[in-house]
Amino acid sequence: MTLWMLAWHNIRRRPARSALTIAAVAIGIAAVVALTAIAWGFESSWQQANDARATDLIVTRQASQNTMPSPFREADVRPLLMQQAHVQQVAGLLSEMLSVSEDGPPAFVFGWEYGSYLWQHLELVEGRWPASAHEQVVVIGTLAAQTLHKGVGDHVDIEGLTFPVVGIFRSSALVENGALLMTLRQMQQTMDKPGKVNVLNIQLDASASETDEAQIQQHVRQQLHGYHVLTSGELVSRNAVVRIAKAMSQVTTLIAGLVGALMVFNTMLMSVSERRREIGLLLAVGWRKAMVMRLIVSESVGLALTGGALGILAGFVLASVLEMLPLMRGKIDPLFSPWFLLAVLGLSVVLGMAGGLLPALNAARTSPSQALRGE
Amino acid sequence: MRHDDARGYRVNTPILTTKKLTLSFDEGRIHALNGVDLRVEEGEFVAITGPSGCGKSSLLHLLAALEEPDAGQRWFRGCAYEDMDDIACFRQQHIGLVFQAFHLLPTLNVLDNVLLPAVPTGRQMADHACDLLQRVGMDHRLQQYPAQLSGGERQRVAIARALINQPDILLADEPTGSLDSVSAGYVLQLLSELRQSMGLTMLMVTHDTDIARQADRQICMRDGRVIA
Repeated sequence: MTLWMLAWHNIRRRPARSALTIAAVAIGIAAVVALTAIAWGFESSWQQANDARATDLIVTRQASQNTMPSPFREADVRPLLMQQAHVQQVAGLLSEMLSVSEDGPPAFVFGWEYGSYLWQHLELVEGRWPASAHEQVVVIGTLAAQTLHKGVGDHVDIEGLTFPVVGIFRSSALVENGALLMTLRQMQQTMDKPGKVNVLNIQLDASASETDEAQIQQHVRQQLHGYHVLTSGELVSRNAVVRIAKAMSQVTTLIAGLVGALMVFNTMLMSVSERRREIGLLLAVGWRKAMVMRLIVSESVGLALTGGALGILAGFVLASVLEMLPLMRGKIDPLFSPWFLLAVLGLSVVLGMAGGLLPALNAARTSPSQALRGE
Repeated sequence: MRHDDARGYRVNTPILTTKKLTLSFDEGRIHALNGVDLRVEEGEFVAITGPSGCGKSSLLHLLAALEEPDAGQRWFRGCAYEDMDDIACFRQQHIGLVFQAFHLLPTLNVLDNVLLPAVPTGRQMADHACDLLQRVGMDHRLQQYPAQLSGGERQRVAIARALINQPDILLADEPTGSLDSVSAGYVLQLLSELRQSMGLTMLMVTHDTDIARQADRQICMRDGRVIA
């Protein structure tokens, strides 16, 4: 018999109470895991999309922090960008989250500059690409085809205009797989934003170094007031939605941690109070106070760790269910980092220790003589 | 001339000595012990008798270091209790306790109850526990729980638990107080055999004069004092 075996035995001896405590911790941890995985997944999905397009730098309005930054006139910016050393291509992009069918969920609709490098990473699965910048057609991602139940030859209605679906494509980025894609010109016309883009994507030549990137950023900042030149990572981390999602997951972590620790604290306090005589006996047969404290803290950590492990499983399920909701499908790919999951288990241990410490001190202060006399 | 053994205890001295031990409860309103002087030799069987509330159990608790006296001193083989670095370690290594109420943990089986005092040592004592349970005649019920045992059987398990760490002194507080006469007789015989075979010093609190007569020496207490 070891201390851990005894602690586990004590956890199991009041199954209903232990189960409730474990469930409370598990619910909190599940919320933390699901929300954090979604927040990180959201960030990662956009990062993936930018990486897939092989974009080196992105120009946006300075103050804009939306997922789809505020539109601006590309003609005001493009000439300056084209003058910069190492700039190989500048491609405009206009995008919007739009309803594309009466009963379907909203979807990302992208307008990409026709013939630009942005299209090159996509794999055509079925049909064809738009034949010209003026052709009023869309191609749709594989996931969007499933979600909207559309295929080549079908039509989608966007902002009162009908677009035939002429092709289905596959991308390495989930966000693009769940999106509809048309030429930039068509998108500007559809959205009534002629000449405007959300961002300008810059592709540098192969010889450009990080110093060159920094130099371009500096030049543009000096000469173009009101605009930012960012790397895709910087753009994603500035994204207000990502930041709000992360803040929410942090607040959830804090609340879940507090509630979990309080639940464990309450359970252990009751347990110590009920087991006063037993604790007195342990001290009487030669257990040190520190050993008794270790037993109580081991029990509280055991409860929290079990809750944490179950919470991680429940978080997986919860995030997967959320991912499959029509509203979310093709927009977010929950990200479960092994380090994050280890950190969650670590958090469980910490909240178990926090919840068990005071009851353990209480137990260690027990007078064995009084406890054995039943006082 | 003073002789110390390897652990710092004096040899050829009484195993337990007390001087003017005083203990009170309820902020001094109840006097449990009023200056108890006691000397117990190695291997001695001492019965402590007296009416209820005379301080017998309090004395046992003080000797087991479960409680601190208000005044007075206690020595184990010449070493004062207050000079001991680790009183829990002293209890674990030298003292075995048997209670009237058994104090077995209801959710642990017989074997695990016996092993409980050995958990802090981290040593594998299962074989030793089985051996002890065989000696108390409980080796056939290792996996059973206290609720499945009779009073006499529970006390035999409690005795095995008291002996798991091979103590020098067995302090028994009314060990037959909750037992019928047959079980009480068996438990007493068992304690006597174990004491002799293991060379234990035993202090037993008892109301029963017949049991007390079996001891090497009787101490009679009244109102917190040793009167005989």
